[in-house]
Amino acid sequence: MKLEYVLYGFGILFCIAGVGYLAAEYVRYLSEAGKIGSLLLTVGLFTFLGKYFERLGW
Amino acid sequence: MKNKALYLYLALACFVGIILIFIFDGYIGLYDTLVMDNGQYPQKVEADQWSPERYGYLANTGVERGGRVDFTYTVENHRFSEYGETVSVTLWHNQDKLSDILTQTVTVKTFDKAEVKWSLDAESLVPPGYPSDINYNVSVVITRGDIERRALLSINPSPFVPKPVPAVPPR
Repeated sequence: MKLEYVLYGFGILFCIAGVGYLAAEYVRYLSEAGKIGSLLLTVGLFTFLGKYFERLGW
Repeated sequence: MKNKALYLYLALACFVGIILIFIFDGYIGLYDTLVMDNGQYPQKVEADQWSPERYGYLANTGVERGGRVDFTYTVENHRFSEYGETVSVTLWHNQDKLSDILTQTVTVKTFDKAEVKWSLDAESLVPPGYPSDINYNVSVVITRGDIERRALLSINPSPFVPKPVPAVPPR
């Protein structure tokens, strides 16, 4: 059971690392306006996700 | 708040917005491509293939002596304002300038494209007396405002034509 959670953890980490790498490659060639827009939306994304989980009782 | 998943939807909206920014930002801009047609196969240099450091090698094509290469340089304007700039094409061999091919002002309306075309005869580029069995390389330099694009034109020796074998005399 614990081994499964470790594997889930590895999978999640690899997913985040892959998405992060792809995002970094995209952001390198974004315009300044695109970068600031993406940054604001990313902040909004994590804020709303945090609020959602907060309301679920996490 | 009645809707429990409202914040989740807002987070999803932010994610979709990021993806839309990536797509929109990638589309907006100025893009230039070059098609080099030597009569056998057209070689296209896409807008993201100009940098040898990023792409791995210099844009290039080859032609036999006596052949001809048709160039089509396209400027696409994916912006909300009109674009105008002077485009000039020069030929270089190593550090020596060989000739000016053209200088032309290009005006591109919003979300439109413009083409500049020219042709080069390979035979006229090779200096007289140059060994016929050695390649001769010419750099085609396209200057558009502050931007400089380079393509390598390799003029290859004419194909080897075997001499006819003399008939063996009957014994």
